[in-house]
Amino acid sequence: MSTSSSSSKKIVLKSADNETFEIDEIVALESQAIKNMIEDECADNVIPLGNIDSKTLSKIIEYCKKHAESPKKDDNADIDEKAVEDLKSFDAEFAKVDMPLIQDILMAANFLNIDNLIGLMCRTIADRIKGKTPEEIRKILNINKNDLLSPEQEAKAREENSWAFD
Amino acid sequence: MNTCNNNEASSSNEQQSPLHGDILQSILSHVPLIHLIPASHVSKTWSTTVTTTTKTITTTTKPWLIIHTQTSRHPYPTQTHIYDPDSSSWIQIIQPSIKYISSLRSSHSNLLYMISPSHLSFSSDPMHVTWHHLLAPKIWRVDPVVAHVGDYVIVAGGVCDFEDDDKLAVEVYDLSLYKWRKSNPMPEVFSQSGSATWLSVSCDERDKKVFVMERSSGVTCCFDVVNNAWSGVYNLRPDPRVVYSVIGYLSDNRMIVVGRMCENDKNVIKVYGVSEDLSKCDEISEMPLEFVECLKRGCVVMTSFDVVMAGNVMYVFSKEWGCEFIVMCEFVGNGGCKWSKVVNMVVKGGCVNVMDRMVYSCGRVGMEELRGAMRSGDRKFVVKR
Repeated sequence: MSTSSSSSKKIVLKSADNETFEIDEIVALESQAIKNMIEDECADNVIPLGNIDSKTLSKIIEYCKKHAESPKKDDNADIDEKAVEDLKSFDAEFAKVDMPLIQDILMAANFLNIDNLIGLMCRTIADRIKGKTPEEIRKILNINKNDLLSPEQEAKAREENSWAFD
Repeated sequence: MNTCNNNEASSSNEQQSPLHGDILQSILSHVPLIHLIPASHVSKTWSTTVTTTTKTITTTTKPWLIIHTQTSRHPYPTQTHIYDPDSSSWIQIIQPSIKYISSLRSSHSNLLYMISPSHLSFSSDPMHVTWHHLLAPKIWRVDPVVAHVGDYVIVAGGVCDFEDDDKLAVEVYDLSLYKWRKSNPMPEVFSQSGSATWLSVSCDERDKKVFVMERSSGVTCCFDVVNNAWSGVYNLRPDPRVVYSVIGYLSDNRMIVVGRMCENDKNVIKVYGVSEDLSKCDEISEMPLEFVECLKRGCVVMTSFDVVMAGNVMYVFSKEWGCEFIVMCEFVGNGGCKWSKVVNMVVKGGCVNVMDRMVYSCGRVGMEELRGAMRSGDRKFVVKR
């Protein structure tokens, strides 16, 4: 981060397990939800995030920092290719975490309304379930066994049993 | 199903999975159609969400390339392979062979047909699940042009053994009246070339018109099926150097001409858009030279190629046996093209012999078509990972 960071406004986020994170306002503004809170002036010095644990929150801050630093696409049409590539490889590295954390990040990003991050997590989950059987998908995502198919859906599934991966 | 009896597993997570509603829908919107089939069997929530998601994504699903092979020996069994560009995968459909009538052929991207002196069978649905069987038209000729547009099947030209008068004859089958009618013959300009070998065919579904182009000259005529009238001649030769061209229709009702020419001793393939009144062709894009080389595959002289297209995608393939590549062209929003090459697994995987026929078609397949194909008849789909 540039040296000007010391002079910029700070925001403090507090996780569910009471850990606090002091970040530059510009980083926090990556979250549309926090941005709205700040604009509506209903944000205190400390913003409590009662449904996000510190592990997830620190990942999200890591993401927002990087994206806040990078030039935005809509700023000007000819931003250099290198910055785009750099951000792409950051995203790819960022997504290399286990599935429970990905789901936690996705839920938190959804709560904080960080569009790019929601998209990245959705694509990551999509990539991991491609070419998998229903049973494998249930296992990967730890999906509740109580959410059983209805009898009609079950019948459909049997008819579509002719679908196989070689 | 043998997957529903693991009651002992994972009691740790009893709360509802966070993946539902908009979030799940947005995950599934990144999953290619072929992987949505297993996804729809995961749970009740997933099944419902796959259904709502596929209602919105059919428009963005790229058209599939469908390759049928037919062996040259009795009983002429057929095999079907599909390429799905969204997942970059090949799918083999294991199904009973198409009932043999004669050699399997294709016309204007989505039509497969077989014609014999007594019968005409055709299929034009995206996955070729349904075949229609008609009695043959009255006049028998070899290798006529066949087209299907709206409620009509058109059989035109071909080579006649006996009566030279009949060689440009056109017969139209009305699928709502179940009968053939004789129509105005093809224009004289096709007297030397009026058969499927020499002509490229394309259909305008909106206006119920069939266009036929002489591949070697670009001479094009149009048959208005409803009014039974031929019009033209149009000269769809955008560049005098073009020596070979074919036509097709994109789903935005744009006619496309693909032409090959020689530039500085190199083969060049260019794509042109045809204006609505057929008066001019504007260059849209040029195939990258390395892809032209892929289609050429070591031959000194570039032999003939053909195209199939649907939606905003065109597949270009060599008609020569043994070419291991297919070139894919996407017509993108800004008026240009995105080119890529695809390894032809049917050839590369050794699914075809030198004497076999390979027949290409192209179709926009959505969840409904796919599910319909799975439920009708004895089919198995094997996705090659």
